[in-house]
Amino acid sequence: MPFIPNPEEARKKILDFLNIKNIDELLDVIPEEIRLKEEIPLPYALSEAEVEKYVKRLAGENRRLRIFGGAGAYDHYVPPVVRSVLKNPSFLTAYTPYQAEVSQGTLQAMYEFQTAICELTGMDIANSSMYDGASAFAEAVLMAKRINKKGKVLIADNINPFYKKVCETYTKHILEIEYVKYDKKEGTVDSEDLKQKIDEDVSAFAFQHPNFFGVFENPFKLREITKEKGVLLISIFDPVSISLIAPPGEYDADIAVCEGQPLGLPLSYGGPYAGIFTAKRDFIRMMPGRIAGRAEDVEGKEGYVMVLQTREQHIRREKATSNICTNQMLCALGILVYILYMGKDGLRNVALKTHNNTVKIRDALKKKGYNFPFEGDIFREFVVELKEDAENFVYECVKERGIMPGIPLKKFGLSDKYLLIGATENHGESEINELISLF
Amino acid sequence: MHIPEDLKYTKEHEWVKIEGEVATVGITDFAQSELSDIVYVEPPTVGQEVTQNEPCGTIEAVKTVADLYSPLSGEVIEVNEELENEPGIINNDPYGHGWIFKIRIKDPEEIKNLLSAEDYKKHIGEA
Repeated sequence: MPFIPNPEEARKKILDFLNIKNIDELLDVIPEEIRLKEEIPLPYALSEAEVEKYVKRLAGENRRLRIFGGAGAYDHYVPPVVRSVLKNPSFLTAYTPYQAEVSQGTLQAMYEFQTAICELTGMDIANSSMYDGASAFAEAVLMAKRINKKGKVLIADNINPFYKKVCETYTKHILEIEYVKYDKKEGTVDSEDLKQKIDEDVSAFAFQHPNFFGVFENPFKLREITKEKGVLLISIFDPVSISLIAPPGEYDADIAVCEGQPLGLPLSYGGPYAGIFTAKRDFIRMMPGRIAGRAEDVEGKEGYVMVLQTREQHIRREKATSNICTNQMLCALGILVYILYMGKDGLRNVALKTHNNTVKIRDALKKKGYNFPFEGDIFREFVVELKEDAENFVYECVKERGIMPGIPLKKFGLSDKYLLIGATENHGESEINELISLF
Repeated sequence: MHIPEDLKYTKEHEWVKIEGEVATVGITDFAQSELSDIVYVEPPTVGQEVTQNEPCGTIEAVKTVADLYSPLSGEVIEVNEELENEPGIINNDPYGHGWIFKIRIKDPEEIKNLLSAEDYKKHIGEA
């Protein structure tokens, strides 16, 4: 396949310059015995019409489930206005602008996204988004190290296990991670263990609020402990919850990140999502990612520009602040449209209804005699102890009733009877009653 | 290009003023004019041990960021705090108010490795 469209003449010139006869000579370093000798067994190429039929048939095999599983991505309602704006080809087809200033519309959207996120979180600065919540978290940990040049980070053991994995991969060989225990009864961070583990090498402490079990932490207390010891505080927050509870800016988080999906992005089998990344103003030069700013041109006209690019790899090369120069602009735009469309009251209503629905399910299960391993107050999710294996239970519910009742926690090293159940404002009363009837 | 006779220089365009065991460090007139408008300086921190010819901070101009190299090894004893709010001082007065940090010299032998004003002139092609 002619992926390299050099004409024969140009190829010959290159080969002559390299003093070799053919391109295969470049591959001599690959040992004979590991080279593929036969053809790759691919089916025949399909026509466009055939591809369409094939993909439609595959898509037809999907079953629409009613989803009560969360663990980081949630089935909130996405108003059609979000999709309608995203379908505008000027936004839809644009990749991260490399000649940024010619894309004024995109830059303005980035700037307004940052502004909306700052207002929502109470934080000083936000970038124009990251790949997803987990990678935003890993970048936050790396940023903490850049700020105070200390090599160890404490992470609460009750954060999302996927975030732990991504963070471990990102930071391997760069810094040391130590996990802080959680109170097995409350489900919240063990502040005594935190105090004990803070030493001179500790750069930051990271926690999730509400945590992976859906339980509220006490961020003010955690801030007090970390402040006293001169340790940075990294918060993983829930973007829906902060319309009801104190946002990270209020408890003085140094860096705060989250998954933006719950704000107007559909689940769509795991992505694309967008990470939200915020910090205190003092740390702006240590912050990864792109930042758009508002400026005036020589005639005093308003315009939007990329700012602080000198931190980035096209200028700083291997010494760049991070190797993220792209963002999830289309997803971030979806989030922006959602925030603007819902408004303050709309967001608050979503959060309230999400919480009420979750509590309703929990109360019903309590009446049915179920136990809950963690006693702390919850927001949108809670862990319940089943009387049977949770994985089997989920399998049966999906197969027989088309309901995904939660996430079994066995694969995260917890009891095989634990199920993490979450609801959103998008669940109607009949759906909730149907879920409850499964128990 | 202003290159004071009484200072020592590095190939990375820092100047050094040696007074007893203390060395004051800044960047040269040539360096500031090449960088143009300086918008941010990240100096080393007081107490930090720096090593000769190794990066110890950054200087950010509108279009680029340059590393700041330490001309000598030693402990940082003072940084110019004025630069935090007014980094442009370096552009206006690179050898005076635009000094960046001071170190306690660890090994006076290293001074031999520095350039004289004459050598530095040659280095930037002014001689």
